[in-house]
Amino acid sequence: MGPSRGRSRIPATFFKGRIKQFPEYGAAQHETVKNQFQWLDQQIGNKPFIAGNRFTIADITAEVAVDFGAFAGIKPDPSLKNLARWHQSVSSRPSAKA
Amino acid sequence: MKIYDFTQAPNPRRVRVFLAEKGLTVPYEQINIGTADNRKPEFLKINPMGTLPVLELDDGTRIAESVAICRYFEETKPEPPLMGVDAKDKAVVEMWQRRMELEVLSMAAGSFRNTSDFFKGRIPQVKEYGEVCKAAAIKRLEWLDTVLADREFIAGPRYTIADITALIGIDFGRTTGIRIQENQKNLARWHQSVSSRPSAKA
Repeated sequence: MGPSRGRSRIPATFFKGRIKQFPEYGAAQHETVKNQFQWLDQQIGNKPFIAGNRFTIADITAEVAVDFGAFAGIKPDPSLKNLARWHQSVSSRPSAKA
Repeated sequence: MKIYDFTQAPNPRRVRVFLAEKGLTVPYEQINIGTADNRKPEFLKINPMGTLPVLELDDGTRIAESVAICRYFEETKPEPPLMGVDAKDKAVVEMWQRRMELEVLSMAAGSFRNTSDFFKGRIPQVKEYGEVCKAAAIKRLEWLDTVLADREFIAGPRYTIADITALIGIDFGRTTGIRIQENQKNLARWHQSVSSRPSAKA
């Protein structure tokens, strides 16, 4: 969640005037998140979930991070097939509507 | 079993202090962050994130992330408990651990990473952001001083992982001039107390 949090505080107007914002830091974080998505895609590989065969709190945190990243304008590249498959799977759980 | 370690870095120290409190000894292998050995292909095979510490179990399982490593030892050697004793206490300890991690240690690290020459040319550094982190850490220490007015340790009457994270965050903060102020008597008393435990030397 770290880099996504950092990025979100930069381009979005949500925190404008409320906290100090540094576009340069946000841009660096944007790159970080893109790299982490690539890495996450590799980590997921053929596994159903992030920590292995069981749905865990790691999936919840990652799902929220990906969804929150979208809010900050960061979307995983569609070529990241494992990440896309996992995101589709966790998003379709009834818990995702919570 | 062994732990990939770097004695000068703050996160590996969290695990060393935790193990010292548990009375456990695990062999360490040094990976020099100063010469970026943690970013070399050989180490990235061990931990693709390139971070330290990493615990390697005898079955080959590798566990990175300081708190995850601490969790393993808390489960395999519960005494003395450093991560809480029942549902409520475990949650309270985790709350304080996380606060110390995000608000103190991460801010001290953000200050160092963005302003020190140590990482120059290796990571994107934004000096102004480093200053924001430093100011945030200093403000959090003011708050922590008030928290410690009515308790011996950060999460209550017992020494826990929250104290370890805070101790290391505060000690690491010294690298960029983040210091306990003269008027912060509670914080100074706590820091003196946790620093005088034998584990603090780990």
